Amino acid sequence: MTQVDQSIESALSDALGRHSWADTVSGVKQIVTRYLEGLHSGARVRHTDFFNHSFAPDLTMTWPDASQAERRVFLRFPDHPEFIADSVTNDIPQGSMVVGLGELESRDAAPLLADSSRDRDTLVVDPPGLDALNESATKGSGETIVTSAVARGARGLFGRAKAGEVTRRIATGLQGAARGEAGPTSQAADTTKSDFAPRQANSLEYLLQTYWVAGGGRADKYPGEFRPSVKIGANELALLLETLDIDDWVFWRNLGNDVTLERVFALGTTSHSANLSRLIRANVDRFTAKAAWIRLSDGRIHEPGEPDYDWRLENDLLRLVGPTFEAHFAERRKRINKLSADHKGDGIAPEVLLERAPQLGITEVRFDDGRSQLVFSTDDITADDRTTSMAKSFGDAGRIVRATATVPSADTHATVDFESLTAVAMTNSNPPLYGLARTAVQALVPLNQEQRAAFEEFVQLPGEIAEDGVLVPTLFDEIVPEAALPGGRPAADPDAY
Amino acid sequence: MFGEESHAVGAAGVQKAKRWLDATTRVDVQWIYPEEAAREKLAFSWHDDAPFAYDMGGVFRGGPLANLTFMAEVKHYSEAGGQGAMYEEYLARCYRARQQKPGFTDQFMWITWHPFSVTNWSKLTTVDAVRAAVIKHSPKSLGVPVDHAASAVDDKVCAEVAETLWLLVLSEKHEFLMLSDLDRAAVITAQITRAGV
Repeated sequence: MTQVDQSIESALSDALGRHSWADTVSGVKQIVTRYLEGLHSGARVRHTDFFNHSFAPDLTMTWPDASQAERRVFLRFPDHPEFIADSVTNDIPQGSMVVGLGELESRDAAPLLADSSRDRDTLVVDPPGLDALNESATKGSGETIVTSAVARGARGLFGRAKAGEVTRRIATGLQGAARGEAGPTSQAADTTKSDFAPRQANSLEYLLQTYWVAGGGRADKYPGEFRPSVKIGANELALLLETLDIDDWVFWRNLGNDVTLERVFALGTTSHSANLSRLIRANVDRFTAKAAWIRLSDGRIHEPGEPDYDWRLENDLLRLVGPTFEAHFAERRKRINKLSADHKGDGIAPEVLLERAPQLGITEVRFDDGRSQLVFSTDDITADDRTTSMAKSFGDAGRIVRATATVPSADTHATVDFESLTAVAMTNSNPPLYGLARTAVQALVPLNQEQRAAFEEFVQLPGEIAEDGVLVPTLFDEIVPEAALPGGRPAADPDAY
Repeated sequence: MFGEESHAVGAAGVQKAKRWLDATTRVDVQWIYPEEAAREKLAFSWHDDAPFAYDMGGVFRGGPLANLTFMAEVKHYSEAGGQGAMYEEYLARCYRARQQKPGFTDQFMWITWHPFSVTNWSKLTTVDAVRAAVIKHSPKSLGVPVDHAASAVDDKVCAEVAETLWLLVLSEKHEFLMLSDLDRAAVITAQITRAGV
């Protein structure tokens, strides 16, 4: 039985010391499997019924992503590194992984082994190297990107020193690229080329480049080979949201140059709500939505440290979660209609709407008392005395079931439905998310003064963005024209902020 | 030279033999002597506790021998050398190994690159050859002086050992008769797939 806190060397030694051949083989494979899984690459590790065979793998690693080829894993005893080098060159498939069952990095033949394995895009890793990679994988998401990439396509000899160096360089490079720092980005780019097989190297450099661009770096200043074809697609956006924790409004603002809300919706779900929230908040004036639906609640239970308001993405829906409500947003009215179909309210009492109305710019209301309806249009219902007298004429049963509100900072109006609790933009072009959010929440959600102030602050662009003046399109806009992207939208208007 | 006496010379030959055997796709050579982890796996001891070890060990794959274990002694020689005498001691070792750990080793192989004792070749794997070797090395194999060996030797074990002896003569040209890399890869992929991996 392997102890959880046992070192890999000690665990392997125990397994190799078992009397039975079958028990030894099984024990060694279980230990190596645990360490391969500890690289967090998402691979399924399976055992073959071979052991230390010249040509057949001991283990295989496969990934759900069909474009990622299977990686065959060969276990080798460390006594003769030159034999391992010969085996890598002549006997095992290119792109394989060899796990040495003893230390290799300090051996005299290590340079030979490093060269031959690099030539064959094969990773040779020894137990200290695996241990170092496993330690890195628990440190942070940047490191996990590296350990996952190592599992999928590193090449050369990875002992403790090499594994540490590669992990540090690339993780630091990703952080540096996000801040537009050429030095660490350049080092990471060099490392990807020398220590990873071409396919994985391209993937890593693509990620570096994405961080560089999203971090505000100019394409022509990228300290590596810039690929003009780079686009932030669903995979890249998912990586950006799920990996590094980037607390930098400028980064997320720049990323908004190339990302539409439609592309965010396409992700379906993201587990990293902090990054998603930053992306939405930093671009709340540029992301657009057609319709919103409010679901009222009695108040949610906060997790420790959880903010009062937050953006979430689940089941292809963007939600603004507040203390007593959830606002769902969609780019198409149909999606919202489906959600709200089973929820039918009574409308709103006229005096309640009049209390909320000063911020809403309501130009039209529809009264309903169950028997008859009346539509009243005016410049602003709060400024027109007839609104109150008309409401009184409907008696106690009178409710307002619909209203037309002015969407802030957008030359458009929205229909607010107090029965279905929806707000739908009336024009063909969708209004900015923050305008629709303000209209929907302020009209449909009862908020006290404190809650209203907190909400107002949450849906405003963070001050750092306006102050930093990062609204000027970056060079990246020239590389990926907005119009060429699905869901292309008009350029942001700097005067609007 | 046996096992531990032949490190430098033998390691490359053992590796060559392993590669050839593995390439048949009918065996999995799992343990080879120069490797530290294999020492205990391939080790036995004489009656006087002196240790001895085979050069390699593994399991058969498929067919009537599936999952049976084997031990092998490898002689990567370009001439007969002293193989005749060493082979006799090897037979005594096989007898001792079978007695010391019954059921542990199913088959015994002698793999060489040069024939030896050619005038006696057809008799090298007979019960008589095993019996004679055991008696000759009786102080170590049986723990009795040679003049008491005839009554101490177990003929049943001699017969069992003789039944499981393999005498293989390889040549450098054998490497050209191995499956091509492409065909071998296809076979191995099929074997892995068939096993449900």
